[in-house]
Amino acid sequence: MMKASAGGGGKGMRLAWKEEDVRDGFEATKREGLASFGDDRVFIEKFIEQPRHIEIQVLGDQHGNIVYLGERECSIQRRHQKVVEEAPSPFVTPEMRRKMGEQAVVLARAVDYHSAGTVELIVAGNDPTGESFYFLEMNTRLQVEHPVTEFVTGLDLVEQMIRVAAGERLDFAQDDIEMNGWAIENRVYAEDPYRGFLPSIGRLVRYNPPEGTAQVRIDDGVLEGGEVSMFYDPMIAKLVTYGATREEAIDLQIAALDRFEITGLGHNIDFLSALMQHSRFRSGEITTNFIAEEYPEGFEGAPADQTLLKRLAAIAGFVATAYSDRARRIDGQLNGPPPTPGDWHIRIDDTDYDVTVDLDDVHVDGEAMELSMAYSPGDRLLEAEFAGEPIAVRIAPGRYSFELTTRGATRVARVLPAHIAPLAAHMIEKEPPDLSKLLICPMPGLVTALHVSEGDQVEAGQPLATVEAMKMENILRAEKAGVVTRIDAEQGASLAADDVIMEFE
Amino acid sequence: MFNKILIANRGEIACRVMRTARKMGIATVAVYSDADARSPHVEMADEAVRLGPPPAAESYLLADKIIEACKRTGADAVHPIR
Repeated sequence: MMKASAGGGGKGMRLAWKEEDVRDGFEATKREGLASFGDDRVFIEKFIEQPRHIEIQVLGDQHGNIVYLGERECSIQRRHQKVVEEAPSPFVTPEMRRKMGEQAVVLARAVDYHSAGTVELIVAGNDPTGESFYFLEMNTRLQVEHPVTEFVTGLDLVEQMIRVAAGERLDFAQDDIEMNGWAIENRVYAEDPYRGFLPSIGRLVRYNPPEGTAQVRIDDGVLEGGEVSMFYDPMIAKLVTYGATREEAIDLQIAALDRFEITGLGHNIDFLSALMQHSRFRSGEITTNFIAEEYPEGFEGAPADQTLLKRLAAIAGFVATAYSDRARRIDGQLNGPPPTPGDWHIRIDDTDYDVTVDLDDVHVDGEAMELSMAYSPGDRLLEAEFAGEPIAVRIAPGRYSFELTTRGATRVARVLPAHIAPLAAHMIEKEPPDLSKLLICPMPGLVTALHVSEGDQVEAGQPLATVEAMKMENILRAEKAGVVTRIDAEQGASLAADDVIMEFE
Repeated sequence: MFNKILIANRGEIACRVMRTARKMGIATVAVYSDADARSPHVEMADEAVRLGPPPAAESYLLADKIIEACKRTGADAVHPIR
């Protein structure tokens, strides 16, 4: 790969596969560099195809014993920030593990390292021999993703660090280390995937992680009611699962993410669930470009198949019946208790479902759902089984509707009694506000500058305001030409997401 | 083995280190900024020392304050910040 030393973001970058490519490309890169950046210096480096981030955990004592504890793959990253980590790596063979491990140990020995450390490597995924791995950096600390190594090796890395620091010898040798099963870690971040992964801060109004088990581990340092502040890392928790196989560990993630309740701020739980369900992730064919390649337009919730939507309709019908059953129990009602409707008309994503609920018997469009569940009004998490297959759904009641969140997406189920639903067709559609005439604050933050005044004519791309959030300055620009009619926010104001900053003609 | 360690970190990783220290019978010292005064890692530790205002550069990253906290609490080791 040749690139203009002054270039960036792929500009002035050229790949060469054979000698002629180098001869032609080098001169062209120089010319482009000179023309675009006024600098004809050129970098030449190896181009890594299908790059994968794989790292080796090492552990050494003060007596010269150093071992490697296998690898972790952390290829699923967004802007160089790790999102999903696993051990072992679906790409690494035992031979490759030994080679990488032995070289990592040589490196640690060369700097006389004692403690837990990580040697990060970049690996070319298009070379199945596994010979193509290259050194990135060594991290001389306990890493965020250490729990996956703990699961597969059965070691407590913090205990080992403390023992080594106290001068003890490692009480095992390289040959004693075994890797069993598969572990996956997902990082739950306070960032909103539905808004371009903008950082989100605020109070954890609800925080209920799934229950920890021998196969599900939650590492967190927050409590319900606590605050995710702008001062520190936006990670809320780490969810780690362990199974006999990679598939089992992934499925445990999906189930645990469905039971992870966070409200009050934006978070990436839906996105993590979508990653876990993604067929390419499940195949193990991942690279560090995975998120950029698979979500080029951003994230809009995980797709759902017809079976899942029908099941959600069944659940919505069951829950609606539970609510109307409660309403019926209020005593002293005029005209006696209202009847409990068992026939519902439910709409999810523009599709209508006829749901009938007769005690525990639930039918959707005439099909028996074999649903087994319990629900008390007020429950925010429900566990259901369809023909023995479990599903957990987070639920929030709305007006004639329920918000159902599961499998990486939130869907609104509009619920009306069957005899009322036909009348809904006569309702006047509510016009959504015309957002194209407003500049909306995309994230909670501080208005540090207003670049225009009322009455100004602005052109597309012109900076309108600067909002500081999470220590980052975000310049908000005009999407199209127009005239500023009103400025609603003042400099120095602290805004919430969706607050109006200014209005246009 | 150490009797008491100071964990020069916050959040989940501080809690993680304290869990193991507790299992090993080692007393723990937390450090905190004003933003974290009532955080779980402070609650979980046997002792806690305030470092300063919320920005990390004025609290968690001040090595002198951390060493001072070690001396004050008698911690004989530090689990380092990442």
